[in-house]
Parts: sequence; C-alpha cells; structure tokens
Amino acid sequence: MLKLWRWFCLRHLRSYKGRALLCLLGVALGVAVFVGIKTAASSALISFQDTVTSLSGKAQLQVVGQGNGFSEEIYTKVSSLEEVHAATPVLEFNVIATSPVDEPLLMLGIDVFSDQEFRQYHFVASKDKDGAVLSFLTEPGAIALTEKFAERHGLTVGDRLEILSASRRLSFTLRALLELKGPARALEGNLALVDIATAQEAFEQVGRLHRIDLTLAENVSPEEVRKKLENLLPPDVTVEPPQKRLGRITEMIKAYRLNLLALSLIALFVGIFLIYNAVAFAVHKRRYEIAMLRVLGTQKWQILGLFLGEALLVGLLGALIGVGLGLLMAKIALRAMAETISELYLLVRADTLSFSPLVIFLGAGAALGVALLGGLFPSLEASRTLPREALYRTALERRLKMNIGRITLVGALLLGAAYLFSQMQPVKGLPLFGFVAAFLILAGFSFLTPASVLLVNRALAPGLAGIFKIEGKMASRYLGRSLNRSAVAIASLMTALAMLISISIMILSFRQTVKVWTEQIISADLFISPAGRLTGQRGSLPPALVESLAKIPGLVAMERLTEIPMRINEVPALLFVTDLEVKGKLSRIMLRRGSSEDILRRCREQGQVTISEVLSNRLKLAEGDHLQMVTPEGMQSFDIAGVFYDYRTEGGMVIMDRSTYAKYWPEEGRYSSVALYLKPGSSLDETRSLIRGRLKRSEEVFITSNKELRREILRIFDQTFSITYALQIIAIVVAIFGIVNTLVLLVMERERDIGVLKAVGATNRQVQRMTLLEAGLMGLISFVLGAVNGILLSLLLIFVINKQSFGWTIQFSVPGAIFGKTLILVLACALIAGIFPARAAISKEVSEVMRLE
Amino acid sequence: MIKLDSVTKTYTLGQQRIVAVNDVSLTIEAGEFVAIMGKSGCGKTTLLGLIGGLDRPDRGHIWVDGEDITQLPDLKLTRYRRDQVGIVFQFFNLIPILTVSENVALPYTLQGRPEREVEARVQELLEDVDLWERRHHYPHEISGGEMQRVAIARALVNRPTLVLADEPTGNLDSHTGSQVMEVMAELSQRHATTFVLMTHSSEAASYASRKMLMRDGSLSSEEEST
Repeated sequence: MLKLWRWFCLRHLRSYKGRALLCLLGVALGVAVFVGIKTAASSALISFQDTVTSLSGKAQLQVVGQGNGFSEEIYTKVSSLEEVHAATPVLEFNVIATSPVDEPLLMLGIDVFSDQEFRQYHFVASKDKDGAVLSFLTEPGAIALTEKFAERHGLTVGDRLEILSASRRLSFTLRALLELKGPARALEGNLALVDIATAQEAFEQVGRLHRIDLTLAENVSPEEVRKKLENLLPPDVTVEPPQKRLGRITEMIKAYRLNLLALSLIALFVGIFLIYNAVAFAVHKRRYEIAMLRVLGTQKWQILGLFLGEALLVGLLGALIGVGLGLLMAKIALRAMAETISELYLLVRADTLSFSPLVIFLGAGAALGVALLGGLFPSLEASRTLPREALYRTALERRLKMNIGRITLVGALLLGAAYLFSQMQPVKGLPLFGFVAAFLILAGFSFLTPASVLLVNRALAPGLAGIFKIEGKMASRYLGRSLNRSAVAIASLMTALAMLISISIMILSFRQTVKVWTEQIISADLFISPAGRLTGQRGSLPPALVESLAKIPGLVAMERLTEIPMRINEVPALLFVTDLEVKGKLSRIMLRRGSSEDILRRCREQGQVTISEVLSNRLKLAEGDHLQMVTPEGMQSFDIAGVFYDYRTEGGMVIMDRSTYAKYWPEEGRYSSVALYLKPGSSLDETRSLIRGRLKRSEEVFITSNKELRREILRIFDQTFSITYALQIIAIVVAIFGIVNTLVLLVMERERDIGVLKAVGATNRQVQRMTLLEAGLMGLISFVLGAVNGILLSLLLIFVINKQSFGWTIQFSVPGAIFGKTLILVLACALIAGIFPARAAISKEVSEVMRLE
Repeated sequence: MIKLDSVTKTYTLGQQRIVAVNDVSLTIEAGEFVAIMGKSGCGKTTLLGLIGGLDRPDRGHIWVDGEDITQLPDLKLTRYRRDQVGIVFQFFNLIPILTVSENVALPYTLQGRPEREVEARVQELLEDVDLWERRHHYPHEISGGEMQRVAIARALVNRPTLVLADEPTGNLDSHTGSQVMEVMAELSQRHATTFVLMTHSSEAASYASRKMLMRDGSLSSEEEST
C-alpha cells in the first residue's frame, strides 16, 4: 500500500509542484491565521494574568473598593483582625511616562516594610545597593523602575522621569532598578514602584487606599474571613481572592477573543475547498490510473486510502508551515491586539509570545481535519468509480450533475438548521449557537452553489454571448460543464466574499449607528478631560480648574461628569454622575422608549436612574424595574426611568443626577470631565486658550470640540476593527488561490479543446479572452452568491451574534458602495488569477497538443 | 497550388532525436484530391501539421498559392489556418460544449462573421452532410460517423482552399468509413477544394485522384491513380 502510495501519489505531487504548493499555502495560511490569532490573544491574556498573579504575590484575599478606593482607616481595622496574618496597603495607578519615553506604566504605591511579606523585589546589584533602597524609602519623589524599562529608554539611577497621571504632570527621580523577576514582571516590566506616602501625596490621594492585600493565619478558611470582613467593612468595599480578578478579566475579553477566533476559523473553512480542489484534480488527472488499478484488482478502500493519504500529506505539510507562519503572525498581531485591548478593556502590555502546545496541536489538527474533510468526497468518488467509468472524462461530472438535487436539498436543510440555531439563547453570555448558525449558513450556501452556478450562468449566458460573442458563449458553457470543479472554487471565493461583505455591512452599520449616536448625544461645545486618560484609570480634573470654568465668558451652562467604575450584581458598569438639569435642557440621551427631557427630569426630581441597553440586557431589567446598587450607605434601590443606547463601553452604564449621588456617596469634588455649552458665536479657539491659561504648569488637559470628540470616537472605532480587516484580506487571498488552482486545472483539462480551437483558427488573444472571461464569470457568480450570503450573515451578526455578545442595538443599513467596491475587487482578483492559466492556455503549440492523438 | 521544398522536421523524445519529416518535396495542384499513405508513426500527421500551419519546419519551405507559410508571423499563420485551411481529425475533435451547428459554425464565428451569414452557411453544409436534423445535438449525443461528418462540415465552413484530413476513417467501422469518404469525395468535387488525405487505409486512399507513400519521414514513391 505504501509502495502504491509512493508511486501514485508522491510522484503526482512532485509532477505538479506549483499547484501542490498553491494548495499547501492556502491550507497553511488558514492554519497560520488560526494559530496566530489564538496565540496572540492568549499571549495578551497570559501577559495580563502574569501581571495580576505576580502583583498579587502571596495575597490570599484582597480588600478592594469601588470608584476612588476607600479610607485608609480600613487598613487599621483589617490588619488588627486575628485571622489576618499580614496586611499591606496598595495604591495602583496607570500613568503615562511622558515624552521622550512615551509609554504607559503601572505605578504601585507600596509600604515597603509590610509589602515584603507579600512580594519579593530584586534590586539590581550595585555598589550602593543598600543606599539605593534606603534612598528609595526616604526621599520624596523617589521611584524604582525595572532594569528592562530603564535600559530601553537609557535611564540611569539619578535621572528624572516625568509622568502624566490624569491631568497632573509629576516628576520623580530614579533611585533603584529592579530585576525582571517576581512582581517586576508585571506589564512586561512597565512597572514603577513608589513609597505609598509619596504616591498618596503626588496623586492627591492622602488618606485613601485602592487595595489591601492579606495573608491569613494558619487553619482559617479564606471564605469565612471574607464573610467576616465584608460584615465589618462599608458596603461598597469588597473582599475577594485575587483569582477572581483574573476570572473577571477573562470574562471581559471573552467575546472579543471569540469573535477573532470565529474569523480565523473562516480562513480554515476556505482551506477545505482548496483541499477538495486538489484531490479532485488528482482524481481527475489519474482517472486512467485508477481504472488500471481497479482492473488489476485494487480494492475500493485502497483507492480511498491512496487519495485520502495524499490529502493528509498536504494537510500535514500545511500544518507544519502554517504553525510556523502563525507564530510569526502572532508576533505581529500581538502588539495590535494588546493596543486594542488596552484601548477598550484594560491596560495590557505584551512583548513576548506565550506558546501554547494546545493551540499548536489544535491548529495542526484543524489542518488535518480540513484535509480529511476536503479530500473525503473526491476520494470517495474515486473509490466508487467503476473501472470502465474511470476511463471517461465526464464520469465524475455526470455523477455530480445527477446529485445536484440532493446536494441542493442538503444546502436548504443546512440553512433551515441555521435559522433554528440563530433563534437559540446564548450560552453563558456567548453566542455559541449564533456562530454555529453562521457556519451552517456558509456550509448551506456552499451546497447550494452548484445549482446556483447553473442558474446564474444560464441567466448570464445570453448577455455574455451577446457582448463577447463566441468567447463569451464558450466561457459560460465551459463553466457550466466543469461544475464539479468550478462550483468548488466559486464556493470558496463566495465564502470569503460573504465574510467580507457581511463583516463590512456589520461594521459600517455599526459605524453609522455610532455616528448618528455621537451626533445626537454630543451637543456641548467643548469637553475638558485629563490628558493622561488610560483605560481603567481613576483620573480627574484639577478641582480649581473646574471651579474657574464656571466663570468663562460666553458660558451658557456647564455639565460636570464623574465616572465611577463599579460592579452591579457582578456586571461591570460605569456610574455616570452628571448635572441632569443641564443635560435635559441643552443635550439629550438616545432612549429606547420615551422622551429624553421627561426621563431626565424624572431622574433629577425623583432620584431615579437611566441605564444603558447593555446593562438592561445583562441584568434583565427594563423601564419601571428597580436597580439595586451598593453605596457607602448600603444597598439602595433606584427606579429605572429609561433605557438608553450607548456604545462607549462593553460594560453597562448608569446615569444618575449629581443630587441623587450626593445623598449616598461622599461628594469629593472629583470630576472626570466637564462639558461646556457656550453662547452661539463664541470662539472655540479663544475659549480654549483662556482655559489653557488657567492651568498650572504641572497640569495638562485635553480640550476637545464636539466635532473632534466625534472624530476621536470614530477613530477608536476604526482602530478596533483593523485586525478584522487584515483577517478578511487573508481569507480572500486563500480564496484567490482556489480560483488560480481551479483555472489552471480547467485549462489543463482542455488542452486538446484549446488545440482544436487554435487549429480551426482561434487567435491566441481569443483563447486568452475566453479563459479570462471564465475567470471573470467565476468571480461574478461568486460575488452574486457571496452578496446574498453576506447579507444573510450580516443580519445574523448584527441581530444575533453582536446582540448576544455585547448587547448593542445596531441599526441595519446596507451601504451600496460595499457591493460596488467588492465587485471591482473580486473581478480584478479573478482576472489577475486568470492571467496565469490564460498564458498557460496559449503556451502550448497546436501541433504538440494535437500529437497527443 | 501547394509546393513543399525540402521540408524537414525533427523532434527530440527524451534523449532520442527523431526525424519525423525528412527532406520532403511535393507539389499538389489546386482542386486535387491527394492521399498520402503510410503506417502509423511514418510522419503523416507531422506533415499534415506543417502544411496546415500548425507547426513550422526546421528546414525547407512550403508555398501555398504562392505564399511561403513558413515565413509567416504567428498572427498571419493563425489567419492562414482560419481562412484557408480546414482540418479533419481522426478523433473528430469536436468541442464538447458546443452543439453540432455551433461546432460547424466555430471557425466562421471566430472570424466574427454576421450571424445570418453563419446560419445560412451552417445550414448549407449540415444539409450536405445530412445532419441538419441533428443540429441541436451535442457531440456526445451522436455517433462516430456523424461526428466525423460534422468535423468535415466544420472543415469546409470557411470555404478553405485546402482541406487536410488525418486518418478520418481510423476511428470508424468500415461501412461508416466508406460513407464518410464518399461525402468527402463528393464535397471535394462540388466545392473544388484541394483535399489532402493522410491514411493507412488503401480503401480510404482509393477515393483520391493521386496516391503517395510515406515511409520513415520520406515520401518514397508516388503513383498515378487509374
């Protein structure tokens, strides 16, 4: 058997190196995308997990507050508990080291004495090692950085480092360098240590803490201590094991990761068609050999094994190349992905790839699976072929034509199943059945392709013959006749196009929705926010500045916003405290039901709240229900006046009037941003410079006009989807491989026909035009099917997958330009793909082809 | 008139160099029906390819109506094939995706002739070969003899001055072969077209007005038919 395989399969692969390579590359690209995306996403997550774990040190429990932390008196209370073996206070800030460093830093304010019990920092050995540590403890403004960070930026002990935290510029002196071990590994070494007292002073957090880490006495149950502490502490302070934070992070980005994974699987899906094509080609090319083998007594299963073995070999090589390529891709994608996660969810820095054997194994397994799946049908056909049948060129085609009814029925059933799956509820908040439905749609359409090709081809035939005469007529006829191969190539391109079109419709619908939303809700003239805003940062504007803004000339009204991150019933949410009187009069929110003015008035006068659509979905609460929130005054219930659309975060949002907030939370005069409404005709530039003039030298803020803010929101939006576009392009490239492959194959099959054509007087140009027309026709039919498929998929993406993943309502809109652009792209690609086979078609001498007689 | 002057064509097969046509000189008058006989592999098909402009000789010249086709550039050679030559192959070589009438019309259509003219010509020829009723059938729906008659009609559609037939009866039973040869002989006379028949069958060659023998690439003898 092995000998047979070596004779018949290896030699065949060797004879058609170029084509085998094309197929191999297609599969490899599919695997590479899968491995690359999975590795990059897990590396980003692992890097973050590493940060959390290394920073947690030996802590068994952590006391954490909501919003702006909690009073340091709690530390005394907690540490005096007999079940607590050790406790250490922590302040944690995400800051930006300013130019020329220009990198984010995680800044920890620690109490070096009590911290030793939890984390072990390794200072870089130097002559005055002890001196460095000592000065680090005593000097105000001293900072320790990791050696890796310092080396990257050419910083040495004694240098000054300026950082931007919210709206304040702060200057520190580098006093010690840390080895990249233990907690210093956090954020890949982008960690800065300061003494907690220095931090409290510098960040104006005197008397406040963000966290207390605890180790417990022997033989006490952490759960019991947790309960005891929670009873002891104010209601808005919680106690939890460090792992819980990790779980929350994984939870937070799971939808993002799942979306990317689904996209990468599409590239693999397209690979199935490539393998199918390759094996179908092999079967077709060797029909005579199959017949001879069958005549000589080879069993059906042996024929099946021969061809499946060939598919597996391509799969195996594809896996090897794909995994290597994938890891390379991961390296490139990692940075982009870490940036997106940092922008959307939490500060992540990921420089090193974490190789997961499981991902590599899955990628390789997927390649083999794809190879088996793609190779199965043509291999089965080969094994079932009767010896006599195998000698006739059209045997397989007739078989496929005979089965068209059955194939179409399978397609229809798959689409029916897709509909049923799309109606199912999410699993743990993930649209798993939605993704199953998406794959069923793609598979369903693939099965509908042969019948659709016949129909569309028939519809286009008269026009083609009319415009392109005999070349058009022949291109269309050849396409219809070689359905078993052309349908596969068309299905693969159709799949890639459906993905391109559906995702484009989804993204553009989403973008349009966000655009309309920004136009409706952003109505103030100027927005002032801290310049050093980073995701997950607790930053605010200088109070004196906010006070002085009230006296700006031309000011009609000012809306002061305070954002407090919190968890409502374990759902991450942002409490958005503002002056609703101003908002009600001069701006609006986009509500699911009811008038903005009326609902905002009820919030103001009756202490009600409005919640975002996402929160409403997650908590299953609607207008008229009650929202339970933990406040320093204990659990409070708020009536929900309305539900509004919001696309700022994936978490929920609660809008509350400042007067309501003041009843339950201590008013600290901290404002996350301020919106200014100016008199008509006021000069924005003049107001801007007036505000800048009121800033102290150490303060820095962003002053953004409404137009700039809208633009910025759309910029972030576009950046978020950049990786999606890259994935789409890869899927298209894989599909184009399919078209080239198929056309080369078809041209090879028609060598004799082409010879006859030339013998009866067809010019090279006519033969070329015919091949190119066929390529264009394949592209056009793929486009028509891809467009229908894409619209269906986009509906699923918008109304099922997105809704279940993120909970946003996206207004469905089909921008015609997508279809125009895609059509141009696909025709251009198909024609380019056709150039090589078209050249091959004319390269043989007529006499050479005819001599085959 | 066709004139071949010291035409030689060689091929390389693996390490071996094969002289397929060896120093052939020949003159065929316009309207003549000539048969070149020889065993398989003697170089008949190569010679046909050279006269039909499908291939170029390594040495020698071929004049057709006073023009040396060995010196024609590619495009002109294609036009020569299209406008002046008709070829009938042993395996018919009909295009499987085209119907009977479309196959016949193919050379005409490739020239971009008006539809009406094409239709009239196709009808005329299909009636000549008695296949008008079968015009909408595809090649795989008709018999071998019928396919060859379609191929003959296709070869004549352009009103070529020269028709080359390569073993036109080689793939047919003797009865069908005779029918095909009769059609060819009749059409040759009616259209006053020069016919060059390559065959190993003396029965097929008997329809020609002049017969020649080919052996190992050389035209070794020539005999006048009686």
